[in-house]
Amino acid sequence: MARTYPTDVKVFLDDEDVTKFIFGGDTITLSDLNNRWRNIDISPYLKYAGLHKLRITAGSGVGRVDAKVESK
Amino acid sequence: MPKWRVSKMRDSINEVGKLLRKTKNNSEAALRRHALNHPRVDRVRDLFDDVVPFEMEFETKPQEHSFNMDLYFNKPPPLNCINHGQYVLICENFTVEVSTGSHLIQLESSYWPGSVTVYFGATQIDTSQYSEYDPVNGLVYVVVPDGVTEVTICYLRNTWTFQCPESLDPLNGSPNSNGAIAGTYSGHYEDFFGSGIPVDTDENTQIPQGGYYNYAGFAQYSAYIDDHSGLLTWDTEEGRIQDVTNSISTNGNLNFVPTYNLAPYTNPNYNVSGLPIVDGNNVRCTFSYDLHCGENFGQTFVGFFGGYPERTHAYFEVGPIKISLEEDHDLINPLPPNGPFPPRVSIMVENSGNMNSLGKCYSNPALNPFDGGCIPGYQSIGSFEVTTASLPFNTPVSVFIDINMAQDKIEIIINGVSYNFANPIFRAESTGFGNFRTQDYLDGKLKVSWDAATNIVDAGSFYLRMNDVHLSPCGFHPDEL
Repeated sequence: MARTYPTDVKVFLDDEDVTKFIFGGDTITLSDLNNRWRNIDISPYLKYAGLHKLRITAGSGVGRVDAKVESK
Repeated sequence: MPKWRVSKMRDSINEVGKLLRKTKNNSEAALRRHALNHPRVDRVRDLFDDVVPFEMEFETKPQEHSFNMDLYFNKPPPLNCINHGQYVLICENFTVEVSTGSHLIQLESSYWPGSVTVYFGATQIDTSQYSEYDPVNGLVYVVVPDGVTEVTICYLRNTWTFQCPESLDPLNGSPNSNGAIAGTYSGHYEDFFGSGIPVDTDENTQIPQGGYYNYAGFAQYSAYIDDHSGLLTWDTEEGRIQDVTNSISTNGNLNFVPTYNLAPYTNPNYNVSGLPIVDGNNVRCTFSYDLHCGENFGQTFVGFFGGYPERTHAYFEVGPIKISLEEDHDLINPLPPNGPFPPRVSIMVENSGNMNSLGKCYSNPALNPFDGGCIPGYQSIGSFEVTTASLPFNTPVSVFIDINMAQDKIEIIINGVSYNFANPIFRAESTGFGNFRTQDYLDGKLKVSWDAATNIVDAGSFYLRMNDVHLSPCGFHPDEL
C-alpha cells in the first residue's frame, strides 16, 4: 500500500481559515516538492496576546505535520 | 491556650509575608529578563486526518510582536515499519549450531541486491566474508570463522516492484513503468571484443550509442555522440575524432522499440531477473542487448555502417534512479530493530536539469550541420534555474555534473551562494563537482549559468545527489528532533 499525502489540507489560526492568505489557495496540495514552509510570518493573523490555536485539517487521507511557532 | 501566645504564632509583623513577596518579585524579574533575551518556541508534531485534525496551542505575550511558523508535512508513517512502506528492513538472527565454515543461509524473504549486511555478534563484517548468493530466493552465503556462534543478517525486503526503464534517454533520464525517472545513464559500453574503441571487429565498423562511452581499460578512448550533430565522436591520444559520415541521432536519444532485439533486464555480471541493484548511492538497472546497426529505431536513426547490419554487444547501466524522497526515508539508513549497527544504504538522485536543451552554441559551423552555427533560440551564454526537492537541514549534498563542454566559466549558485569554476572541462560520466551541506532547508533554487563564447557546448545535464542521509524509517530526520 503506497503512502500518500493527505488531500485538501487547510490551516486555521484561532479558527480563522488562513490557508488562502498564507499558501495562496483554498487548500494545500502536498507533495514531496511542496511540503515544507519556513518562517511564515503569522503576526498579522494573531490579533491578541494570549493563547492561540493552530489547527490543520485534511479532506482525506492521513498526514504527519511538524509545526513550530517562534516568537521574537 | 492563652490568647497572646496565639497572636505571636500568627506573625503579627508579617515577616514571612514580606519575605515571600520579595522572593516572588525577584523571580518574576528574572523570568522577564530571560524571556526578553530568548525567542520562545512552541513545537508540536502529530498525525492528522479527515476526522481528527492537528491542533496545537501556543501563547503570545504583549511584548512580543513577531511570530514565525514552520510547517513540515509528511506522509503517514509506516505501520510498525512493516509492509506499509515500500521498503522494509529486516534483521534475522541465526545461531551457528553445526560448524564453522561456509553456510548458505535461507532468509525469510527475497532481498534487494546490494542491501545485505552481515554481523557476527555486533560487528559488521566485510563483504568478502559473505555474498548475496540468490537475492530472489533469499539466500546469502556466509563464511563463518571459528568462535562465531551468532550471525545477524540485515537486508531490505523489496515489497515494491521497481521496473527498470525500457528506453534510455541519456540526457533526460528514462521513465519506467512506475513513473520513476532514471537519471542520466552512465553509458558504459562493454567492448566484448576488446578492441578498445567501439568497433565490431568483424567489419571494423563503429557502433553508435547515445550519450557517452566508457571502456574498461581503455579510458583514453571516450567516445560519445554529439547529440545535435549526431556525430560519433571520440577522443584519442592523438586528439578528437569525429566521424562525419555516420550521423545517427537527431535528438540525442537512443530509443528502444519492440522491433529492436532487446534483451532487457539482464546483467551479464550479476542479475538476470531484472531486479534493480542497490549499489551504494544508486539504484541501477542494467541490461545488455544486441545492437543491430543499420536499423531505424523509431525516431532515432542508428546509422548505416557500410550497409551492413552488423551486430555487437553493448552494456548499459541506467541510473541513478530517482525515487521519491519519501521512499528514500524508508530506504536510507534504516535503523535495524535490534542492535546499534545501522546498515547504510543511501540512495537518491534528483535529475533536476538538462543543460542541453537550454543553451548551446556551436562556434564551428562544420560541427553543426543543421544551421551552420548557433541554433536559433540557443545561446552560448546562458543559465537555467531548477527547483530541487526540499532537503533536511544539514544534509550533505553533492553536486554532480554530467556534462561535456568546454566553458570559459561556469557558475553554480545554490541557495544564493555562488560557486565559480573557471575553465571547467567535463567529460564522460558523472563528475564530482562539489560537496555542500545544506545550511537550511534546500527548498528551492539551484541556478547554473555558463559563459562559453568561443567553445563548444555539446551536451550536459545536471543533477543533485544526496549522500549518507540519516533518516529513520518511522519518524523524522534525527537532526530535526
